[in-house]
Amino acid sequence: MIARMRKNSVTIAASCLAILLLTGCSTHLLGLLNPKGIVAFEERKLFFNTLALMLIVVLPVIIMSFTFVYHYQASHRTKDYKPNWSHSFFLESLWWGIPCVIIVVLALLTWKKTHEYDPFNKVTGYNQSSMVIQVIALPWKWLFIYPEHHIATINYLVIPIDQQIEYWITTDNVPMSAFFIPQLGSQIYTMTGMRSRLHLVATQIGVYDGMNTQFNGNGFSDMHFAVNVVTPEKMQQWLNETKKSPLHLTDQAYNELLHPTINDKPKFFSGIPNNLFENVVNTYMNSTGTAHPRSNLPRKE
Amino acid sequence: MLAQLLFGKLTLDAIPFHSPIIMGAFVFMVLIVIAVLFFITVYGKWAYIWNEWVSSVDHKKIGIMYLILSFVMFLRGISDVVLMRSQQAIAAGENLGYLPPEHYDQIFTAHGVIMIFFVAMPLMFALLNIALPLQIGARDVAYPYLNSLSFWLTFAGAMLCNASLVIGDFAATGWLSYPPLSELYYSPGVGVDYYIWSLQVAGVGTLLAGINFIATIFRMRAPGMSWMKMPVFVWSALCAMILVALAFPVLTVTLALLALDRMMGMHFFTDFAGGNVMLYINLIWIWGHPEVYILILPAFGIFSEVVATFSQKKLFGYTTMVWAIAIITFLSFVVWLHHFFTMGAGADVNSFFGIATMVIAIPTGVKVFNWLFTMYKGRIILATPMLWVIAFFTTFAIGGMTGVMMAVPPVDFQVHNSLFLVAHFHNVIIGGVLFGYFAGFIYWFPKAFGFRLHEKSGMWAFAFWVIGFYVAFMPLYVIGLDGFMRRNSHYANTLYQPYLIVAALGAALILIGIILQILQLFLSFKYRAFLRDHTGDPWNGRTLEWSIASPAPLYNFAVIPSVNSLDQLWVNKQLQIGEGKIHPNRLHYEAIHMPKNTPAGCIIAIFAGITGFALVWHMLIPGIVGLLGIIATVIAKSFITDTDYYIDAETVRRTELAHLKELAQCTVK
Repeated sequence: MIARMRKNSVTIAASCLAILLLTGCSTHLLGLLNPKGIVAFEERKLFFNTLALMLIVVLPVIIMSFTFVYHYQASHRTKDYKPNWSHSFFLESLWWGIPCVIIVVLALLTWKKTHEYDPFNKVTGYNQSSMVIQVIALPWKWLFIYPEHHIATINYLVIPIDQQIEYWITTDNVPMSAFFIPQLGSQIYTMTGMRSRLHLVATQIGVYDGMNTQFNGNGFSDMHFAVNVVTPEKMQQWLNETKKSPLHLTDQAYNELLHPTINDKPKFFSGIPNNLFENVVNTYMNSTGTAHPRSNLPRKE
Repeated sequence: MLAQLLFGKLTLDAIPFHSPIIMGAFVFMVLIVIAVLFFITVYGKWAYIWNEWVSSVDHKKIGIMYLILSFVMFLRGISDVVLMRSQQAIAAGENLGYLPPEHYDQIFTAHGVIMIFFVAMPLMFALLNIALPLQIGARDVAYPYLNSLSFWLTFAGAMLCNASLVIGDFAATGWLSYPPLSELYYSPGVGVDYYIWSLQVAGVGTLLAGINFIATIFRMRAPGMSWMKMPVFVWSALCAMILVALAFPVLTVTLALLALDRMMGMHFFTDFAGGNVMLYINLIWIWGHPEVYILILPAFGIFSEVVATFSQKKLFGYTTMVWAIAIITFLSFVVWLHHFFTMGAGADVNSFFGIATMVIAIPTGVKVFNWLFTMYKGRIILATPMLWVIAFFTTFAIGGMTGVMMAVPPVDFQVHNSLFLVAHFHNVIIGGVLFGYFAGFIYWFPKAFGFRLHEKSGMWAFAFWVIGFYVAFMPLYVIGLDGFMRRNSHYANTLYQPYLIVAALGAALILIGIILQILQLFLSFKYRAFLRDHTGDPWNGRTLEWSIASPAPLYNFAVIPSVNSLDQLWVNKQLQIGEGKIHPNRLHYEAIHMPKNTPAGCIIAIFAGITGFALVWHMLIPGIVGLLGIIATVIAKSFITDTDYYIDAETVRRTELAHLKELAQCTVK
């Protein structure tokens, strides 16, 4: 009776999920299940390969657990009751051996793919020179700098399709955060005084969600940004337009950005200080004394 | 000046009079405490509580006190769940929900800290205390007074954590308080200090308890119980306690360094004055990963006992079981980096830790197959402890599978910090640890209290719990893959909302399950005469704890049993040793040497609690009073030489005869 109840619970949960999945049909999926870039696509493949490998063991376990419980209930008075049977060299070798083989396969796959998709390395198959975009996590907003074009944006990233982008990532005046565009690929932590690097290639035009994944204070939940993947022509057009933006990222404007704000609308800056990214990293790396480099900012809540 | 020395940073402003939720909770807590104190006074039970419980060094009573602590803190942890799940169900799009982030952030931090440190750990020590000495045929743990101290330190830590609800605030940093967020610059309030000192006080208690159980298992086993004749629960406890002894000092040091940063202006983990946040994150996980194995290993032990007992069959593959536990114990120390693959360590480092993590799946899988084949060709009794084990198989298999998937670094780059991760670790901690402890709780309840738990309400509780679990956590896997991160108090995209409403409904089902568990306790108490365990062996058990009366007499074993095989009691029953041959006149008993009760453990813990509170608020005088109090109590206690006594043979004889009489009547019936 209970075994049946237990089965029912699984069926109910499964059908609930199926309904949810269908109603939220695939075009609306925002993450790994609907990849729009090389890295995310490969990660999804790896995800399902791993799942399949694991199911080789997990499915039999689940099936056996229910069949054994059902069949060997005391009320069934089975004839083959063996109260003292507790060892079988063959069986035990089997379930030491098979998982070992699966893990060896998985380990080889892991070694290969971890090296292939190391965020610091270029994306395999895209050896062309990459475009650098510098990313600074600020108190609950993202600053994106296009160093070659001397423009910068807040919470809005425009990138060309099929172009390898090398993100340089750091943090200023906000605790450790993490830079992540789920549909394009890997996430990586952002830390003060350091430059993390991440290589991604977008393969489909569209607007995707980018976010911080590492809890970093009260504004965490809304620390999202839009990622707009466009054709190279559109990209050029956008760069030209943004270069005309009346907003300039002066030192004073940057200091303004260091104050905590939540859910900022996108902003576009033309004219950025030289080596802004490097200076931010160095502010922490070369900081002398024991006070936080930004502690002299008048903090407004 | 004096006020500064006495109260430090503490002022009346620290009490959030303006917050109705907190003040409501506060009034509720105060009312309960007053009610409890009132009834104790009315029934004149103060002396009883002080002498028989607070001062008790009896492992069985300390176990019950751990149970009560765990239960009370569980109610707090679960009310955090209600707040979080309802907030996430409504805070979509324009709607910001009813909890501001600064409040929500404290709730998810408190939820994690409470559930791990003050629910799961005390529940584990409760079961260890209740069952372990009895399983190895011992009369108590190796150091009974230390055992009492361990409990009261855990209690003091929990109370310090609870105090933060009303006086000041709790950490809003996540349950591991990563710097730089937990450093003074970003968290200038007392929240992180509460976190540090409640864990420090409780952590010392845990470490001492770990050492105590290691000594107990090494030195107190019944004659003849060699290593490979110990019940698997004892093996799993031994390995878990070795992990405690090795890992908890790391936690203590890590938190001490963070405290030095915050209190003394040092820079171990600052990111601008020579400190290194990665050092903290590495250290905390060098403790944190073994910690989850500290919780799961005893649960594995419980499954081994319960599966064998309720399948009425010998545990399959005992030797491989022991080796699997040993391998898991070792490997748990070499996988900590898988908690932060996204930190940017190179591919070599990430691959190493990823593969090391997967390797753990092998011994764990072996254990699962051994349990399955214990049921194979057995005769399975579907009593409530066994139901939890059956639910465990599927739930834990899913949780283990998603765990291995996240051990692949490129996959982790996608699901790290997402609700997929949250679903995974709830899948293993609820489906593995909690289901196991529930099974153990129902299984050993008669041994601790003398009557069984009410089965029918227990089955309903089980049904709601398991269905609720799947409804609550399966949607989280889906939206985790869909880019929904943990610790969000609000989300702009309303696409996620249906999933979170379903998750909230699941949580509601679990809540009904918990209410039914409380009802089960109530019904069991009401019908305790009917549910009385006359035999001391209600489940047809296999190990020594079932060879004595329920509840176990003060001295546990009138005569220390001798052991020459695994599952000694089962073997005895098969060979009918002792049956029908007991004649009261032939029984010979000797006086039993016992430790005397002492309130010293409780007093030291009270002073430790005062010290912790003083450190949180930078109160100089109370801090010194607390420290001196601890030292003075330890010294004063060491001068007391009257620490033991004998239970005379006649008392033992009378107690044993009473049990035998009950047993005989029961057999006649």
